[in-house]
Amino acid sequence: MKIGMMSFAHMHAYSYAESLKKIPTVEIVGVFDDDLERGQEVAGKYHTKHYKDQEEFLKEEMDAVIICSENIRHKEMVLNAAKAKKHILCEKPIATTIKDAKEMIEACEENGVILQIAFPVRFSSPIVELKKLIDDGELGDIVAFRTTNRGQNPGGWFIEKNLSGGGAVLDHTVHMVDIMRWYLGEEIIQVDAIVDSYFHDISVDDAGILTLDFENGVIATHDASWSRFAEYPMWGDVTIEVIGTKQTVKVDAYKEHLRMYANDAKSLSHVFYGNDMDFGLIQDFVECVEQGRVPSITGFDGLKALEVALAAYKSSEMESTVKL
Amino acid sequence: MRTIIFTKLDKIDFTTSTIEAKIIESTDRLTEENGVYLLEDNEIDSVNNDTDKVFIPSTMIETTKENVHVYFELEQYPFFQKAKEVIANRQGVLRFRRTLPITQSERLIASDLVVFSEFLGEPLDVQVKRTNPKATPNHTIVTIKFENGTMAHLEYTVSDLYKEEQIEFEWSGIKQIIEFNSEEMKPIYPRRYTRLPLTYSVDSILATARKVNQDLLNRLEEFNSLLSGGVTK
Repeated sequence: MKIGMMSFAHMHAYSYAESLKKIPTVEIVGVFDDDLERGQEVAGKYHTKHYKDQEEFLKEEMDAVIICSENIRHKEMVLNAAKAKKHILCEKPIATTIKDAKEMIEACEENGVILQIAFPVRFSSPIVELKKLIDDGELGDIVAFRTTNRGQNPGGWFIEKNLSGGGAVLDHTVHMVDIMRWYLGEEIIQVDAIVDSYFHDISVDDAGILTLDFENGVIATHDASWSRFAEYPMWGDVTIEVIGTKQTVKVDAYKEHLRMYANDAKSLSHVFYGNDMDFGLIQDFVECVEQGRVPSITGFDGLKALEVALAAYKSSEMESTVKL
Repeated sequence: MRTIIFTKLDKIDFTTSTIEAKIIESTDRLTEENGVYLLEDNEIDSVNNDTDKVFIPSTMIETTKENVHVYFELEQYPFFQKAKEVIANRQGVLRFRRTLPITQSERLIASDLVVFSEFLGEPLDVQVKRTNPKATPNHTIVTIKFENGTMAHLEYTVSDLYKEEQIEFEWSGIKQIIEFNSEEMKPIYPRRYTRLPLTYSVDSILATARKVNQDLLNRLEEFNSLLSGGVTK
């Protein structure tokens, strides 16, 4: 299978490219990146060709593309790739507005190409194990969720609103909203949030707490932030606690780690040795394209997660509940 | 004058208590005129005089009385006292969670709100959400913005199915992260052999308790009605 990479602006592109290299049936046929220096460097690194022109890149023979641009450019690249009949894996969030997300989904449907959204947390082993426990009825009925996704400030274009569309809340809400929707099979109908900027002198938000209501009465909290600093033992966290009528189960996706102490500025590091969820995501996408099946994480999933993140900003601004 | 403390006796850490306190089963056993006495809090109605100095948990306060002092359980815990001491800047995100082997939590939540508002400033924006009260466990989410810049989620999961209380406290501040989970911080393994770290001393109760007055009652009542009413903005 021939896969092209569209932009390495998002750091996940490197991990996805590494994952592609591990799959023997996949060839990285080219990299489009209009940041010429970066494009040439990564093309060299992955032994492939660099394209500075998007149109020229999309004329090449390839089955699929992986889009890891700045958030604001997802729409442009998805529309172009769909028109060129390439299947698409798009980094999260799907877009920065609902209108754009809907347009992207429609374009992919019209052109008969797959649109999968990159929510790798769905491929974390403990997250998958908890899904199975829920499906097997081990927790009883779900009554509430508690989730966190807190990391470091990525800097660069992430903190420029005109390129990212938002800060930590947009960046770190969509993953866990997706997992809650996946576990429950229900939609969020109401969002209350407090969003602020505490930890960095930046113009976008770096902290937010969300309180969510699902259509079946389940309630949830989510803590999204860029509150972790370089000296913290690991980059951040992904946790979910599911409170059920039979039992409560908590999952920490990065719990599997070694505690490593060093005589250094960072004296304690948590060295993760658990499964590579990015590889799981890429493997799933490749299978999806090979089999021509519906993606496990659709554009609609991306849209629903985006709706919640954007509603959080609105709720905080208006200081009131936002109904979806 | 006698000092009578109503408490959960299994929460008292006698190792760290320097004040000599005698455990008695009921007030009938109070024969001496002086001293400090500990009674299980379900005996609270048995003392009804103005001569003893009485200490009761905030969740049991009903009316003002000259000789009655009230203490807040959260304030007693050494982890909480230490957290208050080390949190330098109040701007940040607080996640506080209790898992409780009871069925009612309103009075405890109101008490915690008093403690947190004294530490973090006046709550400017409070929202309460709870699961269907008929379902077990019952989960309550209190979302608060405090005037000193803290945003907080306080969460309470109650069920008589739980065997032991658990508290989680997470603070994400500016260049400062504090994490506490009572289950993980148990210093003895197997964990069933200790109530630590959710224990406190007699000294702490006496040092932090305050005289019951109308202001305090009003404050608790305000938070209680907030919890039953829902949202205040």
